[in-house]
Amino acid sequence: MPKQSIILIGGPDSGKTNYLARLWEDLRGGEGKLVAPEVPPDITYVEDALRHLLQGQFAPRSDKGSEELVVGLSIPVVSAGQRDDERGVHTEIAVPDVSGELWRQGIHKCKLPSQWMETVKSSFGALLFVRIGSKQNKEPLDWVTAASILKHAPNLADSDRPTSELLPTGVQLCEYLRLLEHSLSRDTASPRPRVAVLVTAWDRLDPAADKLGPNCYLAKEYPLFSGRLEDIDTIDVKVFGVSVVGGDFVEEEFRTAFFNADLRKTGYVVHHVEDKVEKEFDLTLPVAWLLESLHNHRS
Amino acid sequence: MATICTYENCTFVETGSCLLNNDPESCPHRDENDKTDAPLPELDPVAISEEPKGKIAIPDSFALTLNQVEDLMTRRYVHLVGILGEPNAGKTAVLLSLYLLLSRNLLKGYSYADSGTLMALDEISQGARIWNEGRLPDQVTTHTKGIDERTAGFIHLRVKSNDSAKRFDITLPDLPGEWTTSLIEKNRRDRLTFLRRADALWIMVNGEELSQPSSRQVVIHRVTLLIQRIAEIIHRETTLILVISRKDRATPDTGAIEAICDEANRRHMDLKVAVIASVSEKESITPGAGVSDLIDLTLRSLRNTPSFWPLDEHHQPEARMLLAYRYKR
Repeated sequence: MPKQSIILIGGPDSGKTNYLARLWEDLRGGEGKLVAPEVPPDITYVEDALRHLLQGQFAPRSDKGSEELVVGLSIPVVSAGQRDDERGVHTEIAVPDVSGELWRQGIHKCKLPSQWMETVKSSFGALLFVRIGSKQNKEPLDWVTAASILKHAPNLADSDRPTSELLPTGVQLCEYLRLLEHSLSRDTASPRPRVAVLVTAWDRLDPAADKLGPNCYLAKEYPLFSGRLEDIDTIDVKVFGVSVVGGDFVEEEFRTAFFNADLRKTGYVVHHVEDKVEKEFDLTLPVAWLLESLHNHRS
Repeated sequence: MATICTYENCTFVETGSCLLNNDPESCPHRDENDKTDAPLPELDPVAISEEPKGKIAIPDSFALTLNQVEDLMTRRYVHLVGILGEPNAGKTAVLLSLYLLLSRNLLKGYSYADSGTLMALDEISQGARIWNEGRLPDQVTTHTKGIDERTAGFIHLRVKSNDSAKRFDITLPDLPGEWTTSLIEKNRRDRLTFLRRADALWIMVNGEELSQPSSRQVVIHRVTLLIQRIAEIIHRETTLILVISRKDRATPDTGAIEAICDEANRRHMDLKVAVIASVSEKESITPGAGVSDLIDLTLRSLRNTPSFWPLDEHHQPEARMLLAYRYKR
C-alpha cells in the first residue's frame, strides 16, 4: 500500500514526541476513530517515548544535533468503522520526528536540509504544535521594549544591536504555516493539504479558558497566528487542544492517580464542533481529521 | 553611479539620462560636492551564490523589493502607501507601533490577516532596520545579498476590517530619512519614482520639533518645501496625510498645521492630518494612539474609488463617451 506522510512540525519543547507516543498507544488500543490493525515491525522510537510516559515522565527533548529524519512511526491505519470491512481503506502513515530546534533554525535561516523538504513536499498533511506554558515560548513585542529600541538603536553600532534568534512564538507559528503553505504536496492528484494545529498541555489552562476552546485560546495568545489561520485559503486548518495524559507529572497527586489508571483512559482532545466545544478521549482525532481529506479524495 | 548634476534642468535625477548625453563619470556639470552617494560596497559573488551543501532555500519573509511588490500586485489589489519624512520624523516608529498593535490585537477596528514580510517586521522590532545616516545595517544586508543598498525595502501587511470583514493588502516602504532630505534639498527623485503609483502618502513630521519655538519655523519651512517637491511627483488621486508624531511629548500647534495645509491647498492638494504617538512616555496618552485613525484615513479614501465613467458636464451628446472624457482639474 502506498505510504502517506504526515509531517510533525513545531519548535523545541512543543510536545511532538510525547503526542506521537500517546497516539501510538491509542491506535494500538483500537478504541479511537482511527485504529492500527497490526503492530508494525519497527516501533523502537515510539516505544522509547511511551516508556517515559508509563513511568510518569514526559519524554525528554529530541536529539538536538542530528539533521537526520528519524521515522517516529510508520503504521497502517484504518477508520474504526471500517476495521473489519474488506473494502476498508488502509493507509500506511509515516510520521517522521524532527528535532524542534532544527525546525526553529530552519525558519530562521530560511533553509532546510533537502531530505526534509522532500518529505514535506510529499506529505499530504501536517501536525503543527505549540505548547501552553513552554519556557521556549516568547511573548510578542511589548511597549517598554519598543520605546527602548527607538531610543537607543540609532546610537548602537550594528555589532551591539541585540539580535535574538528566538522569534516571538506567534511569529514562529506563522512562519511554520508559511513553510507548509509553500511546500505541502499540492498536485492535482492530491487533495487540498490539511494542517491540524495541536495546542498541547491543554490541561494547564483554567476551566474558564478551557471552556472557550482552542480557537479562542489562540486568538487571545497569538493574534498574528490566529488571524492568519482565519485568512488562509490554500490549506484547510483545524485547531485541537491536546492533553497527552490529562495532567502534569510534577503534581504528586496527579502522578499517583495516573499510575493507578489505564493509560488509554488518560489524555484527551478538545475541539470546536460547529458552535460547541467538545472534549473527546481519543488522541487519534487530529490524525483522523487529516486522513479524512485523503479518503474523501479517493471516493 | 547616480550623481547630482549642476546643469540647470538636467533630468538625470529623474530619469538617469544626461540631458546633454554626457557620460555621468566625465560630465563637467557633475556636482563634486555631492556626498549622498557612497560607492556601492563590493559584493562578494562567491558569498552570494554559494548554497550550503544539501540545503534548500525557502522563500523568506524579509522586506520585499519593489519588483516583489509588483509581483504581489499581479495576484491581488495591493495598496501602495508611501512614507516620507526627514530623520527622526518617526517613520520607523510608526511601522514598529503598527506591528506591535497587530501582534497584540490592539489596533482598533482591524485585525491581522497576513504578512509576506513578518521577519522584516521582527527585525525592526530588534532595532535592526533603524537607519543610521542612510547606511543599511549589516543584519539586513545579510538577508538581502545582492540587492542595491539603496533599494527601498517594503513591508507587507494584510489586515481585516472588523466591521466589514473586508481585507486590505498594504505595502509600506521603510526608507531612510536621508532620502527625504535629498528630495527636499536636491530634488533627488530617482529612488522615489514608485511614489507616482502610491495610493496614499504619509508625510511624517516630528511633532515635538513642530511645537518647540526654536525649531517650529524650520520644520514648517522644510515640510512646505517637501510638499512642493511632492506636488511634482505624485498622482492627483493619491491620498495625502500629514502625520504628526510624538503626540505624547507635544500638543500639535494648530497654527503650524494650518500653515502647512495652506501650502498644500495652494497647490490644489487635499492634505489630511493625523496625530499619533507610536510609543508613549505619558500616562495620559495610550501608546499607539492615533495609529488606528491613520489606517482608517489611509484605507477609507481607497474604498471610495472614483466612478469608472465620471460625468462630464462638457460632454457633447453626439460625441463618443470615451473620447469626450476629460480628466477633471
